[in-house]
Amino acid sequence: MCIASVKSMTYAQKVKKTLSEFYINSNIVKLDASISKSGCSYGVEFDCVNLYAVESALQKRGIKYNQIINY
Amino acid sequence: MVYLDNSATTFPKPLCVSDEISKCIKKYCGNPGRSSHSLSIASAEKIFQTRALLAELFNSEPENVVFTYNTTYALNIAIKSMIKYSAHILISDIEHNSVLRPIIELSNQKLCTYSIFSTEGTTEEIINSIKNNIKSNTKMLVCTHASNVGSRRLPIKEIGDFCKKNDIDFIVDGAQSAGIYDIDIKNMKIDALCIPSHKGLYGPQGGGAVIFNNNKVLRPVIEGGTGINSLDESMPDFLPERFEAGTLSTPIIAAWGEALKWLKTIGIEKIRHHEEELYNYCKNKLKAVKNLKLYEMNDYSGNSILFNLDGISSSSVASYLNQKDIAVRSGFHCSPLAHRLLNTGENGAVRVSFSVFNSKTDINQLCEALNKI
Repeated sequence: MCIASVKSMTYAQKVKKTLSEFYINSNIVKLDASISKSGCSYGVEFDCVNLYAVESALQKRGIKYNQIINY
Repeated sequence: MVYLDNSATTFPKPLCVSDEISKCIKKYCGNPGRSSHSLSIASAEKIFQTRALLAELFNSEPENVVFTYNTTYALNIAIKSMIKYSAHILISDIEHNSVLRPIIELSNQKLCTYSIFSTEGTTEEIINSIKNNIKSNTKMLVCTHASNVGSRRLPIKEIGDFCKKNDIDFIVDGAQSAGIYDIDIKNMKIDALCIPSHKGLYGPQGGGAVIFNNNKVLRPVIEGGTGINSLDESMPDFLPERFEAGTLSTPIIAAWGEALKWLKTIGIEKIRHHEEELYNYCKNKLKAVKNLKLYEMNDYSGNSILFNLDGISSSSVASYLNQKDIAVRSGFHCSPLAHRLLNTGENGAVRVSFSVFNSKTDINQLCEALNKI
């Protein structure tokens, strides 16, 4: 699975909503502190098969994310 | 009860509002943005939905919507986060205490100076009054969109254009206009719009928002936990979390979202026409009541009317009407400047104000009661 890490729960919701508008399933997850380095943070988990579609959807809507983690 | 105190808070609310509060508390009220279990995510989803609906209604982005307890908190956050040290601030002569008091307090603390511009006359005359009061260090203009006393509305599009040209931050108090009159933050060049949930947007009391035009990093006003970046000593440097310390009220915000959906199905234009029709009908009927003095700020439209009866204090009139099961508000309505302008005297005045749930029958009952006083 892949995770797009984002700034906050608000951005996680924005990413999830956007992906659903592009028919991409996703879930909001809380990230390990080791990923954000500054404590609690959130990400949006999706199937890596959709990686290109996710990047393209977020770019089209101008939504910024921190990084995409493949695990 | 004939309820004519809708400028204070609209009543009744659409049924979906109480239904959602109950549903939230019974079924999904986790702490939003604090955990990743399904109840927490469900609450966060509801909160985001309301952010998105507000952003759509006022033309901003969901992340620029900062939730507060009410408009007063929203105005305090907007003013105190945007104020520049030793700046000069302009406010209008019909401001509510929610604007007047924070500005006076900042002025008492020597953090700013302020001047009051006149809202009398045409749009051009109002802009001229702003121009006449501007100083080289004027950095902020705060004004209401619609007065809660009488029916004066300010030309916020033109004021916004003027502020933009002169590099002045523009904060709008939309307490009385949100949900009744169109507000487009981008088109009107508003830097921060402050609104309540419980008036023209028909949500519950205990909710409000500042909606920023952009995500500029401003000074936080209240610090605390935000559910993110917990190891940082400072507040997050992005919206909305920079201004949302502590747990948000999910039941209130979720119910506000349902009210916004309901509002969307009716359309604010339809609501405005309904209220303006009641306004004109009521004004004409009140003119026929013996010994009644109307205080008029604007002749053609609005949704609240101010009056007094000769020789009877406004609180006595309100108390008499309450005995007849009619709810109105007396006194100064937290707007001393506007009352001074209208010269309502030492006891203020009686205000009647409408919502989508009022009808001409309510006004007939009001006038019938006033004729018997």
